[in-house]
Amino acid sequence: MSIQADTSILNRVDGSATLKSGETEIIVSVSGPIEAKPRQELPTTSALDIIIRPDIGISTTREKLLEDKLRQVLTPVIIGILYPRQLIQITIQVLQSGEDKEYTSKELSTIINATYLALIDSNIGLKVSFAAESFAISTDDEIITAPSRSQLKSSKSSHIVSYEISNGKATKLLFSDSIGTFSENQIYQILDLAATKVEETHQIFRKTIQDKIEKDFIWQL
Amino acid sequence: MSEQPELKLVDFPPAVLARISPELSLQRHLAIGLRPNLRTFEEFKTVQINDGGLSRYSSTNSNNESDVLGSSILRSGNTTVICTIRGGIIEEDILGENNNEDADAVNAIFAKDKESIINQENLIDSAPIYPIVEIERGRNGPPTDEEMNLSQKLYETFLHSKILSKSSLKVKVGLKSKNDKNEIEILYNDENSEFQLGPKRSWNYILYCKFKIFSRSGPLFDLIWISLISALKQTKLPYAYIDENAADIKIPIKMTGNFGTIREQYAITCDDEKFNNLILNNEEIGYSSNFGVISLDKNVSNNNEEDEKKMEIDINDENNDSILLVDLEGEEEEISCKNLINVVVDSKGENLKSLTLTGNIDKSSLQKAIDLSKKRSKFLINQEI
Repeated sequence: MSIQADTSILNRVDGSATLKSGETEIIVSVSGPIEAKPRQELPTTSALDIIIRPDIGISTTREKLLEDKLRQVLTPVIIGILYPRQLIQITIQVLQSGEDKEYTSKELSTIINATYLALIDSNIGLKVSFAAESFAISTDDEIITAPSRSQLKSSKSSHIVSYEISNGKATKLLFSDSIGTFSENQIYQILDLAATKVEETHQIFRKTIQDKIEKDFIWQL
Repeated sequence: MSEQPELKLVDFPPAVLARISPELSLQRHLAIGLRPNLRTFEEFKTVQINDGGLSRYSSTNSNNESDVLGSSILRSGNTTVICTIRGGIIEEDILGENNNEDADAVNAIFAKDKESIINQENLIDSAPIYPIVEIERGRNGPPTDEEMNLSQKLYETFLHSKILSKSSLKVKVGLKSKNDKNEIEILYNDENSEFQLGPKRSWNYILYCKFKIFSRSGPLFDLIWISLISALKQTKLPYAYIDENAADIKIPIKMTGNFGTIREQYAITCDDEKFNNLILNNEEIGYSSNFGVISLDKNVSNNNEEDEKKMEIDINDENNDSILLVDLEGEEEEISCKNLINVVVDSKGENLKSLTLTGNIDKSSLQKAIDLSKKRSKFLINQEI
């Protein structure tokens, strides 16, 4: 699967990234820390405002649930205590979902990865790196990593797994969501497989971040 | 002489401590092997469920004018969930090839593998339900995030579980007509198999379900799932017919400029008395369970051992400090548990239908959780709720 990532593409927000992974393409912007509305303010930590816009039409409850899942991933990794009573606003535009509207796994994994790059670009403090990958189980019980649209359609179940990554190794599970019909053993297999797959993805992101830093600063010898 | 400032220890009653420091309160409970709701760590909340008597087909309902097709009322602790199922009829989109005799020839050239793609689709026969979740909090306003997330999660889990087939929602339309003796009678397909009406048109039921939740005390997905399944099991679909007199059919008029309209309109009426049971794919139906994983704070438990009588703690693993809490309830548990597991299994407990893991869940907790949820689901199925 091809992954193309780019950062700092929008100039009026604090951080932005675009990520094309297979058929799915996402653009993410991060504004923050900014002033929160009194309603959103949290006394000891930063508030997270996540907005997901779909590729077609206006956002529905489907996007609401995606926002909630993304929040579950981001809340433990952002060092909120650095920005008390402030707001971090993350806006995500899906350019190509790469899957039918009944499925969300491909979108969510790409959104998590793109948000990671955008957060780094915006210099928001993160406790740990993270990455996600989507999976599907075909009708003949084969685990497909990063399924295509048609593979996903014919699959029995779809999965998304996200891990924390420190020192290039997947350490702790951050989030996992599976739907469809699958066995207990398959889920353990997927969780193990995901750990190696997100490490691979993370290596690609390290290069992206390296390029970004080379671009951002003037280096002198 | 200046007085020495004196710090007094403040004592809080348990309810106040739970409010101002939920995590400490929970840890103190866990240290003595109890939960704030007085259940043990692996004890599920009991669930009582009955047919709410809201359905028009319910034996206890005197109101036959009701448009509710199935209902259930669930009680678990203080929480009450009322689920009502209503229906609607929509006309099915008909593929061009059913209307057009040349379609086969065209497809053979332009869409050679079309047939094979359609048949492979996993969800092609799975029918959705359309839920609305309302958690009563004594105020009006737009739906909250929790309500939207719950209804969407319910929609997705139901659709992907393949509990309901599209074929069981087909409307077999009858015809209301006058027979030879000038008596009005309604002909249905199943009674008179030769009777065929407009073979090119077909209609489907769609099911809406509405949940009203009172006294929320913990994560709601499990309860909503149980009440949905229970309501669907009692759901009946009415027979429907077309009234010959009410049908509005305009015959196309061809003019020289190819100008003309075809207008067909069928008023479909539901039969007052006759109904079918809604057919569900029972082998796909299992129940949902939720778990929280929390690590024991050693400091809290040590303090307690000094000044309180040591109670037996039912933690078997010596090296594992994390505790699996079953069926979260109450503010303390919901705030403190950052690591969550939600499992939906199928009827035999062999396969899983949905699994959501939030936070760092270790494998042993996950295994235990899946094991427990399979047992719980079997128990609920045997209870025949």
